[in-house]
Amino acid sequence: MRFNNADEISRRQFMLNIARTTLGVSLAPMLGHTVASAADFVPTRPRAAKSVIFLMMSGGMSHLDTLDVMGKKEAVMGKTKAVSTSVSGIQLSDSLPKTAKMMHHIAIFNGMNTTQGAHEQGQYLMERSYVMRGTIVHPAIGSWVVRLAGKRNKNLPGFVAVSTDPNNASGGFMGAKFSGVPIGEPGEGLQDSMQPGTISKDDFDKRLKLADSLNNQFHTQIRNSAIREHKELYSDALRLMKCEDLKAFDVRKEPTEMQELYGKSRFAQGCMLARRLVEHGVRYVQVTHGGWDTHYDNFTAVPARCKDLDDGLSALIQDLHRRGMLQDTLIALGTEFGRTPEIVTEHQDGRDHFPKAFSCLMAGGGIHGGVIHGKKDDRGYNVTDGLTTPMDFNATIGYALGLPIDQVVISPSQRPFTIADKGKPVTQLFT
Amino acid sequence: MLRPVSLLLLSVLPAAAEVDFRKEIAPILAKVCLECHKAPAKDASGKMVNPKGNLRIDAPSHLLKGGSGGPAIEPGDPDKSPLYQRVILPQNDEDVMPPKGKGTPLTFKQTEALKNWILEGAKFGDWKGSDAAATVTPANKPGPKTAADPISANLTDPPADVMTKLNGMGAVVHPAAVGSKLVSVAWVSSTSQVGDKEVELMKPLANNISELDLSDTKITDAAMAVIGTFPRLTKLNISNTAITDTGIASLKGAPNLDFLAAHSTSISDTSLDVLKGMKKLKSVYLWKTRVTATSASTLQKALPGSTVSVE
Repeated sequence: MRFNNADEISRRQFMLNIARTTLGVSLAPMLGHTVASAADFVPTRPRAAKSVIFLMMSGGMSHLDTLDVMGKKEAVMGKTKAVSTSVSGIQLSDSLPKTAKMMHHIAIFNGMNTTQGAHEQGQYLMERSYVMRGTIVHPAIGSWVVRLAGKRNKNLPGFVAVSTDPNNASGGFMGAKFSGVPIGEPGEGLQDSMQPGTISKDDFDKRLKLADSLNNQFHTQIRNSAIREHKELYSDALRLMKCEDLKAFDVRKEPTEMQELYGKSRFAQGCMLARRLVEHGVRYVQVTHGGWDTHYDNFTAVPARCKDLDDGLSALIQDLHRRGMLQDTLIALGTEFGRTPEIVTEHQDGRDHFPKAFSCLMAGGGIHGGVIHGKKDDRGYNVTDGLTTPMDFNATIGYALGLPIDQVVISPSQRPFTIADKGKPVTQLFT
Repeated sequence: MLRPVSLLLLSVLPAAAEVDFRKEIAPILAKVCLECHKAPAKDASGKMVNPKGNLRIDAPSHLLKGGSGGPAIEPGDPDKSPLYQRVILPQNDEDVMPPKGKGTPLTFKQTEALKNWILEGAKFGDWKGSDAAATVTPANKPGPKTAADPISANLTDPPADVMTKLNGMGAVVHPAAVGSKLVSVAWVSSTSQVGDKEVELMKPLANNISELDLSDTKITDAAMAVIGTFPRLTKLNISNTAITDTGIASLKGAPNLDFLAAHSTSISDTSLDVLKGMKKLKSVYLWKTRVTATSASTLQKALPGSTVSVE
């Protein structure tokens, strides 16, 4: 039927525009009505994590100046000093003093290794488990999680991407309904989802009734998936506008003590929003923290980035823990690659891209805290133990959630894909 | 971009009726699939033959339950329904159904009927298949004992109809893990609409519930009297509710509890005596309650290996 030839986006756009013009409402393009419910998902393990907060350090976070300090070797470490943590024998960079106090909840991955040395390709591999190709767009890990585990809160999206380029959170071949709902500014909440203030409630309901009576006639006459989809999208949108769960998006509802705990930075506010969202059953929240591409002046730029990271990450761990949510929520911190142990003096002591060895971390979600997985040599140059690829890292996320990580999803081009390609989960990190 | 004109054209098409399972779908399944996907039976040589992939299609319950690979149908979503996906694969695909040499591939008309039927919600009408003959419903059929897990010993399957009903109300109810008869229940959506009445509805699952999340709901101590009778409850979240010390006292009847989150409640030191008697408790979260840090550390000492967190 010709109707079906219209692609998803344009059809959806058409419906949204119609709703805007005829009803005076704006709809958030976030309504995965055909996305399965979490009720249909059975985890592979009891007490598996329910949600993931993925913190993406975009630009390539220097492992040496954050999670994998190499003692007092000045040639490698430059101005970065080590600080002791809540776990004896483990040190972090002195730019992460608050995170150091949370080390007993954290597992550090010091054996990270990737094949990609350019930003776009590196992020793609980290966020999607596959090497970028011209012929297909692989789904983001958040899309996989929603596809395999369903939505827990039927009124909210399963995947939300905060301060994240929508291209880095797209559903790829799974389609728009699995894409992350983009939130640009964490402090501003969800746009286009409120009932318009200029229309009285009576008028609004009257218009809906009229629209309904016209629609019902149409729906009973015509059986067509596109029309059905419109009807579902439309009722989902209405439910959302009236829904109490929407308050999950509003960080302004947080009391002063919470605002103080997290701090005002955009990243930390994103972490606070992420906690609100997982509290309301959102499966996967990605918060991106950019600016790690420290080719120039690494030893000024990294501590500045670390300030916001330290505030947000430590507050998030503490906050989730005291609410009893840390066991149910996996925090994963990733980046596309590390940075060179060599310090480039002609670039005001910068560091260049370094895919061979870098560091990531996980906390909560059943992860055993206070441990280090993997090891580099004493220059931070080569992985010598516990080599972990982005695919292994993503497989570990899947394992934490109790997902069937070997479940194949066939793309429309008839190719088989899995959430972590051939990655192996690091199961020994789990309690 | 779709133009309004196509809407007008469509509106003059004749109305189509819903797919009738008994008339249009059952005959396809019987002809093409049943031979390999029926109840376990003896073959000519007397050998017991199980259904392929553990999938039976001879009753609605079996179709919905699915086989080794999970449910065969996702009502409303043909893309997620293997029953449809496997029959539309290219003939050279190793997963195509019926397999090469084991029957004629479905015609386009047949696959379309199947697709539309799933799209419309996979309704079986009055068709019961072998369910009609079954004298024992899955709910009261004793399951195999799982010796490895003493908590699940002698446990029967949770009543599927209750689970379906609660899911329909916005709860997330599912087996605690693959192959487990224990059940996890979480009230997640619109929690201000959830209260003691909803807890009453969970009573048929009393023996099976191991994880229960009622945080942010309107439950009162009356609900705790019900929850306290769940013998296999191991993990409970009642944070940000109106639960008081009276409610906590009811937990004596839940001897297996090892995780209790009750932050942002009015629970006080009075409750700690009850909790001290619950020797399996490992994780207790009492931030924003009236419990003092000193009493919390006393409780932590009384429960070896536990974490009692108040801040």
